Amino acid sequence: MTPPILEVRDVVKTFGGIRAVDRCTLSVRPGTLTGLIGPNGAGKSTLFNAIVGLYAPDAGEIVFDGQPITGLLPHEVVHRGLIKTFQIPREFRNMTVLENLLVSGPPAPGERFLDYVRLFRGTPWTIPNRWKDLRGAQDAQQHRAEEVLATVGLAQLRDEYAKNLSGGQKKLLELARVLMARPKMVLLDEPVAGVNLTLTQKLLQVIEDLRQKGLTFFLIEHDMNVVMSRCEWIIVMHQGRTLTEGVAAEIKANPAVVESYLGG
Amino acid sequence: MSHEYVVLQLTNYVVPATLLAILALGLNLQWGHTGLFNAGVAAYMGVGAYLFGMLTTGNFAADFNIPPDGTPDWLHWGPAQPWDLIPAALAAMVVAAVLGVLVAVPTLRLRADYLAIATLAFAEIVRLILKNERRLTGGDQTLAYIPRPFGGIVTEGWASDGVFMLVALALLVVVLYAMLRLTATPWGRALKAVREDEEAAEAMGKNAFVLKLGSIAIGCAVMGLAGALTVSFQKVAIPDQFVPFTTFTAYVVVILGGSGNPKGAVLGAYVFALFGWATQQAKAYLPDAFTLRIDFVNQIVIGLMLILIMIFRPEGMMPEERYVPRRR
Repeated sequence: MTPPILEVRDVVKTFGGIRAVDRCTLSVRPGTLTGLIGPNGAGKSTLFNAIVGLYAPDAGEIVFDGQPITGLLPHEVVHRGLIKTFQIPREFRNMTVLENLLVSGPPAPGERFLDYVRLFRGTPWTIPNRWKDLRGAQDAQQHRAEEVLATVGLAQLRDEYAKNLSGGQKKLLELARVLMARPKMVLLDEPVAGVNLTLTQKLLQVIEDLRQKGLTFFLIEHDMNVVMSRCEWIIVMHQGRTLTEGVAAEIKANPAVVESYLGG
Repeated sequence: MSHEYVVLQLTNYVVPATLLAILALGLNLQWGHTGLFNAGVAAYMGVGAYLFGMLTTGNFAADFNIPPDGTPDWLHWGPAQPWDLIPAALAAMVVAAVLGVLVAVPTLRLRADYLAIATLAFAEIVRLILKNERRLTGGDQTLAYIPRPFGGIVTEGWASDGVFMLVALALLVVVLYAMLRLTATPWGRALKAVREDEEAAEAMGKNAFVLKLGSIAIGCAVMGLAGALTVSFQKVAIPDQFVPFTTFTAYVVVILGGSGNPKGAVLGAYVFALFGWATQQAKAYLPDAFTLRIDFVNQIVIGLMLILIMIFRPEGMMPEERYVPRRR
């Protein structure tokens, strides 16, 4: 069996007196679509935020791709290939859809001061060439952004301000933005909540296509139809820790899960 | 109308407007593009102004206590020789930038409003030092004899003002061009992402802390340049010029012009300066009883204008431009 791409060991995150995540341990295998379910307040979103570094965990260890990432800053986690979407879309409102994609991911060509210092290193007569290379790299990045937009079906909204998008389109933009960062693994926090059926199918299709290409997905979702039909492995969280895990049929049959979450 | 009169009238309006435009360009990078609430604009301007003044006059420290024999006792414990204007202006920019970064480092990781509190406090400290450290700055007795560019060729009068106007305009063009280019780079775009939603920008892989530091450093350097030019034009540095009202003015200019658009900041400065210029012109035609009061009327008008802008056109006269590149 392949080693897990993401391992969470005994992670604790408290807010005041509340232990939102209480010694949670779980792992995700590469190339899978793994679901994380549980009642409201089970600590799912908090766990996601702790994994990507938005919250510093109080205790425990997080290992991604064989490397410990506990306590890293969010942008450092992204540079290692792990990125998450937000439950409520947090698009950059006064920037266009294209710009939203261009700012996503590790520093773009020309984003760091060093990129411009490099222009002036070495023989002076090659400066124009290096400048052309830098512009070329920027054009290539824009080309890729346009491809990603086409993948999620937002190509015709390329130059629209992100704030003018509909709720569902913003969800698509969230997904497009994380794909732009060329991640190895994506954490999706309720990607289809509040999205109509057609768009949900489209989103899930995009996710499935990418999974076929080797991307790993780990998603929180309350829509049991989606979770049970799409996720090949399901982890159940309850009161800050994992209750059980298994394939859809096992979860549906587990009395503890039925009692705590699924209901009779 | 003689040409001297025309030039003097023109410089009366254009020079303050141009200096204000340069100051606003520095603030626009921080506030308009990065969303950083720097409440110490006056201090960075003041630091640039005084360092420039102290270096170019060569009187790093001057004792203004006039001894009984009547000769002022100048203490030279700075550079023995007065500096040239260009290295002095560069030094003013660098020191303003370094101070900006030093104040920002401990506060930028905290919530956004802490930067405002820290910079506001810093501005007061700077102002009090400028006012009280008389051996260094001359205090309320001012730091005088600050040279103008080409001061050796055109010494004084309308020609000196005219030359200064051209130098200031040239520098404004340089700073504006630099700002337009800087903000159009991927770096400038990342700054906008930080302004829109810092946490989301972090989660999308941007190092918000470093981006904000860069914005602070460059913005404060430009403010330092504005300060240096201001005292160079005035030939004298006065501590009471670098009060919170100056910071407020810079914000009004940026918001009036359109925050997030460097061209807007320049337009805002020229429109804003029109009010000050018109007020001065009006004094010639008003009865004496009003000449003092008109300055306060001016401030009322500015405040009113800010309120109206915020209600009817919050994006300013020249809003941020939408980025629409060719398809690749």
